[in-house]
Amino acid sequence: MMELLKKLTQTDGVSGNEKNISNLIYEDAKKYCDEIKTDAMGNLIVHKKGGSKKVMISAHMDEIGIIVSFIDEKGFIRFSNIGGLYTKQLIGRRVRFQNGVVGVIGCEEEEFDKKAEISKLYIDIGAQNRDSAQKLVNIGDMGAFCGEFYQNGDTVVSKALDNRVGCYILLEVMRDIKTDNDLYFVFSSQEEVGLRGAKAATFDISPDYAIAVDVTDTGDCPNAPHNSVKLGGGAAIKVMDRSVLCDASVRSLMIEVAKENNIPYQLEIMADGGTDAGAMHLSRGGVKTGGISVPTRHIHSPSEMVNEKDIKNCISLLKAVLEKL
Amino acid sequence: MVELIKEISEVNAISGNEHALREYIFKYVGKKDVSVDTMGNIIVFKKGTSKQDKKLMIVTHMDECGLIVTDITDDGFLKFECVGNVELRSLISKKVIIADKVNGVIGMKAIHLQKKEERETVKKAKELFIDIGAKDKKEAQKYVNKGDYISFNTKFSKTQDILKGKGLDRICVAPVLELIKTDPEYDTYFVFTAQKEVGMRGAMICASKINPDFAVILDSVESADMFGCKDNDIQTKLGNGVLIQYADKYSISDRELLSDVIKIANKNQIPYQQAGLIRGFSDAGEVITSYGGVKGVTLSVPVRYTHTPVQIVNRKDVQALFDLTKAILKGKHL
Repeated sequence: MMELLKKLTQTDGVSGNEKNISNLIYEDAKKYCDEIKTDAMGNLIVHKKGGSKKVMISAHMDEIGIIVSFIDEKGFIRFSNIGGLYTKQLIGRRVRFQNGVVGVIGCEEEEFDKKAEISKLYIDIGAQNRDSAQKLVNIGDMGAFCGEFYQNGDTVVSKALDNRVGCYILLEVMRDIKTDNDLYFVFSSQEEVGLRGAKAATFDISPDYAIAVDVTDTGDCPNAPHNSVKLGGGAAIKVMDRSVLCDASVRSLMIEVAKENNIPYQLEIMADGGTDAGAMHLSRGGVKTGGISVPTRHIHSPSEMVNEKDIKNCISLLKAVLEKL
Repeated sequence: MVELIKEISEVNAISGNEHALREYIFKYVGKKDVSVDTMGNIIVFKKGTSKQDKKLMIVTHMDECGLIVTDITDDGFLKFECVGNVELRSLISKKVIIADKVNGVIGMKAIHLQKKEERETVKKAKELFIDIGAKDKKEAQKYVNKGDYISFNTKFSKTQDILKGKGLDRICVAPVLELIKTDPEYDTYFVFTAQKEVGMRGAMICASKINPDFAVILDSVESADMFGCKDNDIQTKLGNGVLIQYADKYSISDRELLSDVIKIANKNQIPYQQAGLIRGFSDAGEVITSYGGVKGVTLSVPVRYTHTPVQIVNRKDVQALFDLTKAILKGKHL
């Protein structure tokens, strides 16, 4: 059982509101680095000093959620999305606000059947009226989806595995990596709303190489769109996603390293969705960028699913790549 | 301040062609500690009165949406495209002025000549045209060139607190010009950005150049206080005060800065309103993600009929935005 991963997934940190998750990571990461700081965007930047070659490894620590836009007279809360949500899958979900208050998403049934829009949904915190609701929740408050951590054998299910599993991998790698390279482990903010944290951090660090560690879609569910990535099929080496075409030399280095060390790998081409790699490779005069991803089913749901073996393979691969770069 | 708003409203400054408003701003602020960058952003520096080593940036855009001439037809009509996100349905039969000298009107077929389907559909920009009264292409070419900017020709007016005019999207230029007169606590850069309406392009370069510790972005915001806007949507309302924004299309305001700003508003009894996620955007999207990140918050004035030739704001909201920003400039709380 991965206790650290459990703690990481169950600590909320919706985009723009990453303080709690950042603090949790800070407490662990500070033991293994030379320098650690938070920048103005809320990125947590962990520096392990080394030689002249600067490598930035980024895993975003924010998660999708909601923001309160209006509270009606009866105390029902209207909201907008933070990050990509599947509107049709929201009904019945639990939302946890920062003060611990939990609400349930309901819908205006007839209206929602006609057109599934977020404006036809509301959060019910059981308040009697606007005044009593406002004692607990206010406009601008953000909420994260609830989804408990569960593990059975290699199978891990939880909310926010996107991308706390990436944060977990960075922490595991940082612990005992031995390399001459100058490493910046970045736990980035606001990825889910458009790679905003990574954009700022990359400019500041100005790395020679960048690697994004994130989750990726699989194609192994019934009638899924064509995608050769499988749960349990090994670490995914990113070729492209909607935000980036990975640098060919970084990609071939990753494949070479995987083969040398007998680390199971698969190649990732993700048609939908981007990663921090998208922001990193375009910073300043351009940065040679690659990505290592954890195959994940049911992304952006409260029950994202990953495989522990894949996680371990990602850790081994990232470590070996950082040593070889 | 109303006189200032009137003059700014009537200056034409479509994205990429902000020259006239820049001249107006120079006349107002002089040349000392004023610089212009290659994108045409104006940066006015004011030294702080306290010794704290913090840089504050106040950002407001000076450009407005408009149109641009793309072609002249054989019979002397002008074809055009939109610069920025113009509300197309608002264009028909509006008065325009081309290159600040030629009057025109956005025309369409007389209602008598339209088929039933035509009357019930919204025209695309491609189907609309501008009539400058020229008898043919040759005559039109004497007055107008391809690439000329086309501004809405709307006179400013005031009825009690209600102000009406074009270009009120960038109404915050007026309070910022007034704010420059105050002595700020921190070293402060007042920035008037170019080309916001076409994608925050001016802001993109000036924020990373200045690299401030904090930024306050001032802009307008869509007002949602009329029928057709259901009560579960954004709740911006004319006359309810300055809007303190949590998030817009491209930015999330810094949480600590937000709570500081709300405290300042409460303490000074400045009327304000709040909203969750704004559908539009301000320069904040580029400002806060620039360099190593900037702590930013967006304050805005609700505008009815934004991105159309005739817009309406409430003077009190502008005043509230001015008061709140001034209190931020004068405070030691950041």
